[in-house]
Parts: sequence; C-alpha cells; structure tokens
Amino acid sequence: MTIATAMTQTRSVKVLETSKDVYALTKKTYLDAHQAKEEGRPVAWVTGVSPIEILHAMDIVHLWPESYACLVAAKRLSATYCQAAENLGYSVDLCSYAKSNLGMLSSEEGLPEPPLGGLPEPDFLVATRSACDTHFKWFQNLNRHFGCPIFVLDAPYNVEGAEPENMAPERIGRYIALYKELIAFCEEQTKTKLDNEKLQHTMELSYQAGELWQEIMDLRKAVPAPFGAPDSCAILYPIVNLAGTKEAVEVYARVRDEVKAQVERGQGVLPEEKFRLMYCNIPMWYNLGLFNYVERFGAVFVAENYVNYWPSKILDPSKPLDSLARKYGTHRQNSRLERRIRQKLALARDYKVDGVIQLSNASCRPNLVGQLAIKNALWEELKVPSLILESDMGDERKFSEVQIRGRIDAFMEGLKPRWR
Amino acid sequence: MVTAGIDIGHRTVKVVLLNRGSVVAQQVASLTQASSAAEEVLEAALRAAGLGREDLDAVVSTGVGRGDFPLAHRHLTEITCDAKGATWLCPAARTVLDIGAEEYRAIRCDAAGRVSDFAMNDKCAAGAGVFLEVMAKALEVDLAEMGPLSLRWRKEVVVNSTCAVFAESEVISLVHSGMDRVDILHGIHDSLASRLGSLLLRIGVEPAVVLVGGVAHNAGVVDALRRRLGVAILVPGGPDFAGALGAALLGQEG
Repeated sequence: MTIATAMTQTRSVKVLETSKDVYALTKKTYLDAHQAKEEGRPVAWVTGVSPIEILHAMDIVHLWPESYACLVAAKRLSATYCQAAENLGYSVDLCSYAKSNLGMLSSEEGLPEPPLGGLPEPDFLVATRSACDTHFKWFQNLNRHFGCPIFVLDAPYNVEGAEPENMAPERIGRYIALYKELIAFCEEQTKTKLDNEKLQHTMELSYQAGELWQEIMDLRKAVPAPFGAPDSCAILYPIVNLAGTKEAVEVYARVRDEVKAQVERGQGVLPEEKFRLMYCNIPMWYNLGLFNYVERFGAVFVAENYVNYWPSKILDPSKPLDSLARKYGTHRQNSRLERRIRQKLALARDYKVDGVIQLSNASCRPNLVGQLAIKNALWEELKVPSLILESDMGDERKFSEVQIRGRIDAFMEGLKPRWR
Repeated sequence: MVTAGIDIGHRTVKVVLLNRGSVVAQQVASLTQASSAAEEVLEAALRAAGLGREDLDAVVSTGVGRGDFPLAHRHLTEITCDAKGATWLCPAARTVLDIGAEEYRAIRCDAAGRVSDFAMNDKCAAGAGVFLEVMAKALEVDLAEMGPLSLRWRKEVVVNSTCAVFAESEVISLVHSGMDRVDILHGIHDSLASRLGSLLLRIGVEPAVVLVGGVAHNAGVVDALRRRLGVAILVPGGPDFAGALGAALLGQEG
C-alpha cells in the first residue's frame, strides 16, 4: 500500500519538447546501471556534490540515491518509503531523501516496486560532506547495510564564502589531496589506473555542459521567460549527474537550441507575463504542478537558486583537480550565509524577479538555515517580497494543499510588479 | 452601492453588508454545512437591512471556505480582507493580528490596508481559538469568562507546552498540584501570547497593532500580548467581523 496525500494537480505542465529527451537520458542512466551490474562492472553510490568527473573518467557507473529520491517522490512513492524508514526506527525529522532510500532497503512486506527497477546494489560508496552532514551518516548506514567499502571525502567548509575564482590556494590544496585519496580508493576498487588524459577530456566535456547550462539559464532572463520551474526541474539531471559525459553536452545543445528559438520568437510560458517569481530551496517533487498553480495569477517562476549553481568558467581541463576543487568546494550549500544571500540577490536582480517563494523544508537543513535573513535582504536591498511556505521536498505527508495554496493566494493578491 | 462580504471560517460564518460605505447589517452563525449555512446568513443579513438579493452589486467571499460559495462574484484570502477591514476600523493599524478558530495570521499593511508582509501558523493550532476552547474545557470555565477571570491572577504559572494536546495534560497536572485556576488561566494566555508574539516579530511589529478575530474578545489574551510585545493592542468593535468587512469594502473597489 502506498501513502498518498490528497492533492488536485500534482504533475507539472512543461513547455520544452527537449525536456523529454532529458528524461529519456535520465531513464537510460538508471537502466544502463542495471545492465552494468548484470555484466559484473562495479557500481558506486555517491552523495550529491561529489567530484563525479573523476568517476566518469574512470568509467565507474555511479548513481546518486538523492537524485533517485526525487524521481521516487515525483512518482508519489516517497512517503511510503519514508514511513518504512521510520518503522525501522529512523527519526521523523531525518532528511526525506535519506529516509526514501533507507526505507526502500527495508525488508518490510507490501512495499511498492520502486520506479525503473530501483537502484542496483552498490559495490562501493563515496560520500562527501560538501552538501550536508546527513550525507555521510546516511552512507555510513548504507556501508553497514551492504558491507561494501566506503570513502568519505571530508571536504572543508567554504567558511570565507569565496567564489570559485578566488578560492584560497591552501583550501584548493586540501581538496586536491582529498581527490588524490579518492582516486587511489577508486583505483583499488576497480583495479584500473586513472588515465590523466581521459580526466582532462572529461573536464572538457564538463566545461561544455556547464557553459550550455549557463547559456540556457541566461536565456531565461528574457521577458517573457521561455520556460519556468517545471522545465528547469525536468532538465536538471544531466548537469548534476552527468557533467563530464558527451551525452550531457549533446542533450543540452538541443535544449539550448529550442530555448533560443523560443526567445527569438518572443514566446513565453504565458501569453501575458504579469509577475516573475523566484523559488528558493528544493522543489516539492511530489507536487511539481504547484509551479503551474501560480500561472492563474499571470506568474511564472523564472529563476530557482536550486538549479543555478554549476560554474563552468573556472573549469580548466589542463588543471582537472584544481578545477574540481573550485567547482565543488564553493557549492552554495558548502558556503556561509553571506554568500548565499549575495547569490539570491543577484538572481533576483538579473532575472527581474517580482516576488520570491521559499520553502521552509526541515528535511534539508543547509537550505533551511538563513531563510529569514534571505527574506529580509531581498526586501531591504531590492524591495522584493518573499513568502515562506512550510512543507517537505520528498515527504508529502508534510504537505497540506489548502494551507499551501491559501498562502500563495494571499501572497499573489498583494504582489506588485517590481521592475516594470 | 450595496456590497456583501462573507467570511466562511473554520467555525463560523460572518456577513457584513455595506451600503454606500456604511455598515447596514452584520450577522454571524455557527457553521454547519458550508454553502447552505453561508447562504442563510447572507439572507438573514439582507432581511435585517431590509434589502433583497437583487440589491447586491457585489459579493466577495473570504475565509477557508471562500472558494465554495457560488453566490460570490470573487473571492479573496483572509490576509487581504483582514488588512482592509482592520485599517477601516482602526485607521492607524499597520500590524494586524487575526486569531481565528484554527488559524492565526500576522499581517503588515499600509494606511490603505494593502498587505506588505504576512505570516501564519503552519502545522499547529496551539495559539488559535481551539487551543483556548480545549483549555476552557479542561479547567471547566466558560469560554467568555476566561479573559476576565485571568486578569485577577496573583501568582505566575508557566504553561510550557506548545501543543494543545500536551498543554491540556500539563494544565490538568497543574490543577492536581493545587494551583489556582485563575493563575493557570493567566499562564495559558501568556503561553498563547508567546507563540503569537514570535509570529508577529517574524514580520516586524509596527504600531498600531490591531487584534481581530473571535479571540480578540478575550481580555486576558489582549493583556498578555501587550505585555509580550510592549505595545498597546487595539481591539475594534466587532473584531470577528473584520475579514467580512474587508471583503465588503474590497467589493466596493471592484
């Protein structure tokens, strides 16, 4: 039996045809991983914000349980697995990505079949603490569950709030040392040496994917916006999981072409775009249709802080480890609040945002902390108001449609155009 | 121009009729079945004002049941309507607190009653009217008596629980330990004011602070809020009609 909260429209409506290509690629990644497992090739599970280019360069099939948790939530199965994890004794307050993954491993009877056949069992695990501290504790439990080797990349915190361009040399040095340890670990697991030329080629592909991603995001600055949050969520997977592959570059070139053509035609999501909104924090994957709900007010989500962090300019293929340190060591979730505020102010300004909707999502503490400070800064610096909603990214048991819609209604009733 | 504002809340339906900017009738009834009850209250208000349905130029609904009222020409949220109604009742209002049966809302607005920010309770109703109902029952006190009684307190009693269910057992153990009922009531109001105060501070308190909604009738809550925030708390006449009044006023604006 699955647990489902009553909701009217949960599926989102997208505008980009190429978002289907991205989903096909996403699906293929999971199916290929099953194939690899069957053929006896090693499969790794990794946490978010891991230097995946290294794994791609070593042909290691790797999957992110948290990305998969998004898919599971979108298929409306996450709450059921979260409940199963709680039945095992995990706290109600634990991250719902972790609970979704751990609950799926439960031997409890009657649990539903996971989408796309689930995740093939890992041969080894790679965890960092760049995104959050739950990651490595969660992976330690996976390590106990599967009894397979684990590498924990104890990434330093970007306490200075440095940008990728001005990261301190000693901090870069620390990352490089950790990456060398990770490479040694992977070499031991796969009994294969990392080919430096291949790593440089992977970095070149990662650079190209990053550039395309930035171009696609920049095209959204157009008024009217060519696509909204339903599409940005749908096209996200490759930049996060497949940076460093030619498939990511190819699919994003197609997405870019479609978006560019739309902007050239002046075609927006809505015929009349009255309000441009920004979304902060992780989407509620079980109800992406909520992003379309605001369209009745003439509003479109034109920016999301969640999808706006994959720097490419600093990726120098001739210096792969230095580049990876700059890319992953300055991820927004690994950065102090002042920098996170700066990033949101820049987005609001660049994308001409009239209002911001933030999710108070206790599942993800790194994203949760500082929301009020962000709200205040947006108002004080730019006179852009924010609404803070309370729910969860993956656990729909914490979602109340009446409450959420009521708050959005009230926010939209009071919203004024800011830039026009 | 005759407009009707109808506020369909969790517990009650309130109707305000405006004729050329003056209130000509206001009616309240307990909610039984959403649509029919609301319609009856509207009919009663029209009768009281000597008007018929055909005289109505606009009907605006608000409250949790706002979308289910077929007679409404438009519906608006309680946030928008509360701010409008409260500033009409108290023109100095810049911060409005509405405590309903199950929801409470803190609103910042300008002189015209336009909302600039708001915050609401999310997962818990401890701080709303039902919390006080549960406490009144636990202490065997009439709801209307809670406020006046609590003002006669002598000894500080702290009620810690932030959950209505746990607070009930906490209050029962306070009774068993021999605490005076009046002091416990005072502690309950302080606990409520502590929750509401935090919500208000989240959006910033700018005087004048106006309290509306049914709980505004409770003088103990008003006093506790005044002490918690250190500012005067204004309570207009007919505080439970603020939302319906705001809806009727917004109906005039078209």
